[in-house]
Amino acid sequence: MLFGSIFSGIKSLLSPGQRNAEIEAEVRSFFEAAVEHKTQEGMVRMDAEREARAEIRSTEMVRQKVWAAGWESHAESLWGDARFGFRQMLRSPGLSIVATLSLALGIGANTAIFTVLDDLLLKQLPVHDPRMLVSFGDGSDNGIVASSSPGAYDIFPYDFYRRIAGNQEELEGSCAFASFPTMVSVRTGSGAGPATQANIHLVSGTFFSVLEAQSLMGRVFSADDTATEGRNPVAVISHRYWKENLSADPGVVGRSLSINGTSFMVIGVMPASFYGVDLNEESPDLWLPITMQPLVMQQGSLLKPDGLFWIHILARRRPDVSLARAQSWATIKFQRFLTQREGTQISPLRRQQISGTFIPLLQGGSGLSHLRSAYRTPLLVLMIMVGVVLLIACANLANLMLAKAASREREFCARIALGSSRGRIVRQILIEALVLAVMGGGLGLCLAFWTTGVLIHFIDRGAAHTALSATPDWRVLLFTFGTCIVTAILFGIAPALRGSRTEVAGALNASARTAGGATGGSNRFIPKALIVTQVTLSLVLLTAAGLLLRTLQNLRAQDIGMNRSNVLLINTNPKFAGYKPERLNALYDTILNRIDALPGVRSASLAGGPPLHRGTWNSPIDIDGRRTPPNEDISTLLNRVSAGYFETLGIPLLRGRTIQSTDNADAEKSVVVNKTFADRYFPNGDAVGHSITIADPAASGIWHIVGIVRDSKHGSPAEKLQPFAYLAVTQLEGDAQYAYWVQVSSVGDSAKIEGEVRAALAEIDPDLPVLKIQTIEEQLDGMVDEQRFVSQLAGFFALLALALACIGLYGVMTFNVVRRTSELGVRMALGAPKAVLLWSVLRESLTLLAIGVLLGIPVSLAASRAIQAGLFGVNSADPLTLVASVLMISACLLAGSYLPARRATRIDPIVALRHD
Amino acid sequence: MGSRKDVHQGTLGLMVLKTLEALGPLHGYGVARRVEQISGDVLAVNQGTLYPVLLKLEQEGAIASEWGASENNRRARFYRLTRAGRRLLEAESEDWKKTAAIVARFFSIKAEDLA
Repeated sequence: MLFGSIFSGIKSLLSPGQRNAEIEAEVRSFFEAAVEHKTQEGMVRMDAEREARAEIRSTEMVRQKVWAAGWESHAESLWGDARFGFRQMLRSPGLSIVATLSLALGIGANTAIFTVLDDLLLKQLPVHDPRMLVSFGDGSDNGIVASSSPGAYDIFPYDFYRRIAGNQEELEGSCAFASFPTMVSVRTGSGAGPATQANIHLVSGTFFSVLEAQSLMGRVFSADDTATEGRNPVAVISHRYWKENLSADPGVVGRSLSINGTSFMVIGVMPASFYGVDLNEESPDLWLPITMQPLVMQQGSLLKPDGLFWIHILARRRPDVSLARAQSWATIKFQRFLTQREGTQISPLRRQQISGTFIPLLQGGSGLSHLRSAYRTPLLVLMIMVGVVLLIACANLANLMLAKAASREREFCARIALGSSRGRIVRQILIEALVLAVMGGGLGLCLAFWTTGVLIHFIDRGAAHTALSATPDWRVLLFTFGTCIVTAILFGIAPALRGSRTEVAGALNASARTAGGATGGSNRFIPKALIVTQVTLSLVLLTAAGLLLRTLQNLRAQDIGMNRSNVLLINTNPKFAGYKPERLNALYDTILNRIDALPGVRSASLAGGPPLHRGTWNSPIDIDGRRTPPNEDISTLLNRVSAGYFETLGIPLLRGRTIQSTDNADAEKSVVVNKTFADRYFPNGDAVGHSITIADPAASGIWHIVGIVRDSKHGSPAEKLQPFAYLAVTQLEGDAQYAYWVQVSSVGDSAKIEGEVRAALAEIDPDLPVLKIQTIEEQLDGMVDEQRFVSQLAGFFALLALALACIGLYGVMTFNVVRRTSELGVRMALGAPKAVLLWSVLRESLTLLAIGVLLGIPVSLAASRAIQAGLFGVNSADPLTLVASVLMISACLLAGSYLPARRATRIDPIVALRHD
Repeated sequence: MGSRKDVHQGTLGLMVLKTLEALGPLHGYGVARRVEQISGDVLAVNQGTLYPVLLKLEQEGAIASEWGASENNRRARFYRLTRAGRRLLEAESEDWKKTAAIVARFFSIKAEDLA
């Protein structure tokens, strides 16, 4: 029934001609029947026809009635209103362009931020029923860690997963995967040919079945593929990798790829939409069985029962088991697991620590992401800011439409006089608002698509391919559409009510001069209130942006304890070129000698990890063979460095000596510690000469402290200093002996020597890959990415808000001056000095500005307190920022109102008096 | 003719349904005449009021129509009651009877009845 009505309604909207023809046929047949009837009753045919015609009245009226009966008549009249609104826009193209553009900027900014927010926080994995997936912890930790402190856990040893994997009572199934991607070297084809790098993800055999992700070709892993360690060299590849690196070979299943020198067989290709479970910078090219870890990572097994913490776990819930029950089950299992690991003797303290651990089961349907936790707050702050920008744009539009409504007073009068209802006028103006909003929204969507690309590029640090996407999904489209409607209502409601209140009696015969004046009072209150609101909101945004920019500035100005320019950092991997640990020291010598000899190079060094980098190696240590009490925080950050490291980075030596080339495999093991380390463990200042042992078996033996260097920063310029020990890389063994980063300090701009360094490395060994190359400035910027993201965007949005507010004030003031043309003309003719006239116009804007600022200060203070946690080195009530913001807004708004005021003083009295 | 009453649309729909139920398929003019006739010529039904009602009933599926030949071999559209229309008629007449009964009780009220 309903469908029938909708269907026939649409049909009649689409083909009105057919509907009209039907009506006509029906009317004719009715007419004929009536005439027939009447002649039968004895009437003369002519009379019968006349009477029948009188009864039916006109065909046109029947048609009108028929059209009015269905819902489509409303659609038809709405469409008429929309067309009328569009014509109204075309009548004042300048205003419409400004209006559409400011809306496009407002809605576009909202859509762009919302798209990124949607990508990172809302989007679900492209797998079956993602709502039933839970992750063990939030997955924000990644790497290989030895930690087991109390608190929430999100990273686990593989052995723990093995113990819970079989459970089917609390969970339908669970899977494990490495908490980080791994770069491997891949040779397609039969061994020969250049090696390429690929980003792989180690996953358990249940990975795809728990996600319920199907392959496009071939098969996915089964539990059998990870049943035994090192036995299953098979690979599932991503759609993109298949297309880009394997030329979309239809026979790819069964083909073999040489990964780090071992042959892996491709067993399946995933569909294009599947990007795995990580929503991070780069999505994986290949998925390999987790049991192949030693081969893939080319380091010791992490699969052993006493293994380190390095995997994430994701599980599919059973519908009949509550989340709370599953969570307490997982926590109990984990505590029992930790207790068993401790062996037979557990100190009461340790027992207490273990009982304080727990596993939160969180919604896993949107995958795991460390970007998510890093960008959640910045994005929410920005979302609020763009919302405010849109409000300011709305206030502009409302003012503009109010002014238009005032000038259209006679039109409304005529309509009401001709019998239009006031509701109809409200609807007309709201639809005009909607037309504007939809046009602005459409343009905004295009702007947003382009901007989102830029934002994503920033967040993923320019990764070649990422799961983040700028393409709007249905949520984004819905959001934009909803924003358009809300916007239209926000800026349309005041003009609509204003238009509908038009007094019929006065306005039609009044001249514009009196019409403007007669409506005075309450009607002029709304534009003023809107301007005050704009000033208040802009001030809030300016202050917040100011604080965030000062935070960024403070972070950048922070002493990082090393050179901040003229250093080039190169990421390489000797493993990819087939170097075994025995050959490393010789390779290191060659590299250092070769690069040192380059013109423009001051010095070069090697290190395991780059400077100014978060993910660092750490391990508990013991001093002089004496076991440190367990309650003390004994975890020390570690790096392995070559001779010349401190010199290259400009980290000053405080005591003793740095690592030298004499610290070779045969010499006593040497370690340099930072000042925090020395002060914490050797308060008497005698660290040099003592020795330490490191719990991590990769750095076994006794390490002698040979020097103390100044503290430098690692994760963030704002971080608390931590003890740090630099081991001589040439004195390590096995996997710990690999150095992945080369540091080169140059005489001038380090970017200039990039080519020479690349060439030198290629000359040493063409297989030695350059995985990444960046200057220390770029590395430093990477440390403050989130702050850069939020503060630069906040600054941009605040300026946008300010510009919109200026345009708004300018518009309202110009309108006022035009409205007062004749008044000003009379005053001028009577001899009022120009300054007086100027002041009489300026006074109004100054009052509005003052009220706006007075209201804005407390609101700004409250808003700043809300973002306090994201600030660094600046108080939320920072007077300087506030004063600067007030000055800035005052200067801009004064400029915005001075122009119309000056126009007032240039009025020609003669013209003004003739003015309508 | 001037004193004849126009019918309320909702009510007219019910009358049309009942007329079609009682007399079988009819064309538009036939329906109009019959309704007038049954009302004792108190109601005036012209095409402007009738056609939208027929159209609405057809959209709701209560009646169906097809072109055919009238008794004088003229082309005319014939309307007939569908099964859904029959159900609708039953439900509506029940409603109508109830409403009429209630209204009747109100009209018959005297002050002493409520004392």
